Amino acid sequence: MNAPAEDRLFGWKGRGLRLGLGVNAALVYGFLYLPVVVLMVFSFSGSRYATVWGGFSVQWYVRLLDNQVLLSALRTTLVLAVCATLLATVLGTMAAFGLRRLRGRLRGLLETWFFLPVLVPDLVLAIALLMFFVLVAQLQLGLGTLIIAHSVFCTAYVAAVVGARLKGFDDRLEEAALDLGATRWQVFTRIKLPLVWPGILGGALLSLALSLDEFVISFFVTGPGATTLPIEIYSMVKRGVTPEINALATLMLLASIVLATLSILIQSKNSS
Amino acid sequence: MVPAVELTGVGKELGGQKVVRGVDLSIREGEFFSLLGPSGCGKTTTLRLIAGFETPDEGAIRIRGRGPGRRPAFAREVNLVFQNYALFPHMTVWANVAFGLEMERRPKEEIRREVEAILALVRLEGLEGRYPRQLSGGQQQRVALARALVTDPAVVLLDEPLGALDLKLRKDMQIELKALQRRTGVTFIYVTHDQEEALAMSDRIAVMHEGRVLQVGTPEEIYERPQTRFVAHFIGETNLLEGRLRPGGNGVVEVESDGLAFAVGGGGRSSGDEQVILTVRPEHLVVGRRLNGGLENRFAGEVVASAYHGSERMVHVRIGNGVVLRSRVPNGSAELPDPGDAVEVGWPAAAARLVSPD
Amino acid sequence: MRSRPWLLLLPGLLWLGAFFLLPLAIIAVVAVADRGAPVAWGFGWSAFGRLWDPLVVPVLWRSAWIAAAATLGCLAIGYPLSYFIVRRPKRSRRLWYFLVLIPLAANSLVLLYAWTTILRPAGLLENLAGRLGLLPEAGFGLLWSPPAIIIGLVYWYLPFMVYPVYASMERFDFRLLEAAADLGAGVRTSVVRVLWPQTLPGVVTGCLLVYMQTFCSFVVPDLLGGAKTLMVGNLIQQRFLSLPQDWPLGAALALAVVAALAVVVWISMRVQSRLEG
Repeated sequence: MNAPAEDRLFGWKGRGLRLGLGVNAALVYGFLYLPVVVLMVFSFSGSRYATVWGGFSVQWYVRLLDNQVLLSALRTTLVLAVCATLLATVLGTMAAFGLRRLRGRLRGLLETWFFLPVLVPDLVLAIALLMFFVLVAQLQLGLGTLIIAHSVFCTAYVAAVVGARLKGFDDRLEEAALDLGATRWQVFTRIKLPLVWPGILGGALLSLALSLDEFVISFFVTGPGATTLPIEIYSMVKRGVTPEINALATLMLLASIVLATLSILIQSKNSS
Repeated sequence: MVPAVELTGVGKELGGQKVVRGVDLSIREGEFFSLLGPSGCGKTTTLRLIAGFETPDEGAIRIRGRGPGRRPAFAREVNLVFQNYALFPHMTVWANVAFGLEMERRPKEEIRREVEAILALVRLEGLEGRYPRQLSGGQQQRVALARALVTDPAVVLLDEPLGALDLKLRKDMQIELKALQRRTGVTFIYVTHDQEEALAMSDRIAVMHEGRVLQVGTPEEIYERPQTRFVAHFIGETNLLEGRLRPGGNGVVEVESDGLAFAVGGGGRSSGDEQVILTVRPEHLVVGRRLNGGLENRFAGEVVASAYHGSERMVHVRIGNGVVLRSRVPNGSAELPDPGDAVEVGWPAAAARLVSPD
Repeated sequence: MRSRPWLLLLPGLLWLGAFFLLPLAIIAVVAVADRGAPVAWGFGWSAFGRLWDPLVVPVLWRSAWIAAAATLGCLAIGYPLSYFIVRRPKRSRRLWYFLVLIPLAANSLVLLYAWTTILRPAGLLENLAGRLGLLPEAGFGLLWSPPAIIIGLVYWYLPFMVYPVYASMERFDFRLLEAAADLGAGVRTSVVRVLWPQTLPGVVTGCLLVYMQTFCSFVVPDLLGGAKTLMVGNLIQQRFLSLPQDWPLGAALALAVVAALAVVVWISMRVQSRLEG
């Protein structure tokens, strides 16, 4: 490409516009990643104070390994994320395949319906589920209610991601396979699944990342003995700052970023 | 002999619209048969009906004399080459071509032999390991053909398969397709809106319009002896004149149109005073300052436009009654009139034909 | 060609019906119940009466304007950012875009916690300003104030603005800018009269998403706002989880919030259909 369009069109004013956009972008990316950098840097600080640099040290990471409370919270978080993701992946994938077969208004309506849990503010969903579990279902709050609650919004995300992948699926491929004598089952296993698989895996990874980080809903529907890492971090922040949080937060952040990046990479895999 | 494909009174309604109405077709074994018509004429739906992706509301479709039977219709020995090829993007060329054979559970060794043979036939040796996205348009086209041909079907259906290629490649592929069909002897049913393509490749053509088949015939029949106004207009270029029929002498009838009389040869009809349409192709019109005798039709006129088309020139002549006729004049002929020139335009009675309104 | 979609849809529909639709309906039921431990089954509008408490109304008001400020903040930096991304070369565009989305996928409260260490008194910001000699005597006093909440909200919900705005800019035909320039329009005129109107549907959607989410955010005001700058999310949380519990009031608050948001959604959908129609 030659000179950017704005320059050619508007001369020095166009360059000014592009400069402004560039400065804004630099500031925004700085703004977005400043806390990330702060967390990571201070997690290696030797100082007891979370905001004072005290030389390089990995002591906070070492201490994490001895913290039984955190380790048990980590276990809960992982069990919760895996269970909710399994549920959500099955339900969301089936729903996406089903939605694809619908036509017209009904399809639009149900697509919105399956996406609604993402749009409803998390606090509203949280209190709704709390009241439902306590007053109607009369379930003991704990890991079970956490899994159900997480599966609700994770299903919505998986259905959306798989649905997006299916949108790029050419129906004529299905017809071509049928035309060449494949059965419906063969069409599913040999044509559809291999092509939609990145969407399913991407949806599952996204669901995993979201569940690992979810706080508000967990905070409301959790019960004794089922403390997740975000809840533990919240109470640590509330109780008073210890540098261990920096280390823990860094690890969690890395896990989320890795999962989210993987999810995005897999979703875009030979999608054209 | 049993026809390869036979349609009797086939009708289909899609989305509340009758897209195919009362279609009768009989396609012979080993024939290159084209369904030709503008978009929305029902040709693709007819193809999908033959392929079995749609079921007819009325009428019947028989492949080699057999109805759909108990197997799903799309599993019949008819393979489709899709408009955009519909190659499986996650499979190599080899896997795409082998797919149909694997579905038939043929032995491995046989699959290998057949795939190799067909890839050689469509000149794709050496590309077995490529994925569709790594191929050019023409190569993808050949993979689609190979995939449809390899299971040795009774009929191969092709849905505008050359539409995505550029003009030069399209011309080459036309020749290649035709040669391939000759060599394999498989019946091809070819859907296209491109009349040149249909004329160049087909053994026979069915011209479709608004869900109906208007005329079936060889390319020559379709071009030289169109039966309806639409066929005459859609295939090639033509001059159309509306008028009333008047009996004439010597096996010639006359058509009176806006005060001028046109002689038409050979037409059997002479029942008087009938509203008719007359067609005459531009290449049959002669233009000159003074025309020699011997032409039954000869009119004085004025050149209104003259367009250069490389190998020829299209001369537009306005004659007495205000009608503008187009004449195709090969380049290199000595006398080329300019706009504004007074000329004569003429044609033999035998070159004109009467066609019915649609 | 298409068979039995309902078999595939049914499990998901039932699951979401039981654990999403039904719970949402419960909010309305509890809002008209009586206060108890935690709820006494009766029918009355008393919870709605308690909404007019002098402690509640200012919180609602504060939530409304803080959410509006955060939405404007997101728009002010998100719109030019989307423009910036959409004008990158095609290959790197995805990367720039993902860089905005990744903090959303990792929207953990650990990032908010990082903000507290930056904004707190004698925190990183004041440290830095102090070294540059820019720190006022009393410090900035940012943490536990509305500006801190707004910064946190803009940080957390920026991707909700960029997502639809960027999508609408990707659909925008930038040759229209060339046409505008060709007709003699300057930069400002081209952007304001051509780009902005064409991307307005995305802007409306983005503002809507951000406003809805920020209005009843609970974590951000809880960590960055402190006890004196409550938002409606804190109020709801307290009525449910802190003593004295008052679930009907919490439910009524949530219902009021949802109703208010529904009105906002309805208005902006009207605006949007007028824009597109």
